[in-house]
Amino acid sequence: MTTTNARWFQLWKNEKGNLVNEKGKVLEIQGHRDRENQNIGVLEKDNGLYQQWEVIYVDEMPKELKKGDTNTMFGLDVERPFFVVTTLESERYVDLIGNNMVIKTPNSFESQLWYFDQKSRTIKSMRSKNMSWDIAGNSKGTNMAVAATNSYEGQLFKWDGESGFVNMYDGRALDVQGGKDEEGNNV
Amino acid sequence: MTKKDKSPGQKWKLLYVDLADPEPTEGLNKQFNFMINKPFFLQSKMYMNRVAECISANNIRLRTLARKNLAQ
Repeated sequence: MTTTNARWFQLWKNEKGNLVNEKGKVLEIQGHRDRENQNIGVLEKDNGLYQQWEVIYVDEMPKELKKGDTNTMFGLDVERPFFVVTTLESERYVDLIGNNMVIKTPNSFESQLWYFDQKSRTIKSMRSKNMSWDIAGNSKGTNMAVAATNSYEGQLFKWDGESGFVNMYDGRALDVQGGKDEEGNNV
Repeated sequence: MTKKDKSPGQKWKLLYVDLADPEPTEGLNKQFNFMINKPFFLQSKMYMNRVAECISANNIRLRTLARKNLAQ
């Protein structure tokens, strides 16, 4: 940002979700990371989601979703507790052993209860409300656990309504390890 | 200035101020596709729906929406 001078580097067009300057470069979230305080810069257009913006006039900004509303992007109702039940024969529930996610027989403990938190866009544990589903290994691993909520890539999941829960970024699905329908098996 | 050759660079329109259209102060600017003088948020389409915020004098960063924050 600098003092207004209307020279080419201050002129931006709103083109189908891109903010484009005269040189054809676009506004982009640097590092492509959707994180608080991430810098915004100008780069070549490649149509990544990190270059897509919506101009929302202040008087048209929708209200924040509240408890009971459905977040359509994530396919989940806000703060509405749910169980996650495997469709394997046992129909065990996703549960926690320590911070590790496993399948277990229904037991009425809060460790089997989950809810979607609108503020963080994560799935939180009713047992530990400061913790969210998390792909271990900095989002690169295969094991699921709960970890302190940070809303990073490995903590954003949607319910796709058909095949289950998938990570918003890499599309990988929540899965009973090896498909083994055993008490305490890893998720 | 150079020798007259009727090239495009030498052609002009004469527009008297009293005949010029006034600069618009509202409505859609079709060239830039923005509403004129209408405040807006610039919201990322990434999943957290954060918005651009002016930080300090000349930096822009991604921040969680705070509707009453004029820096957004």
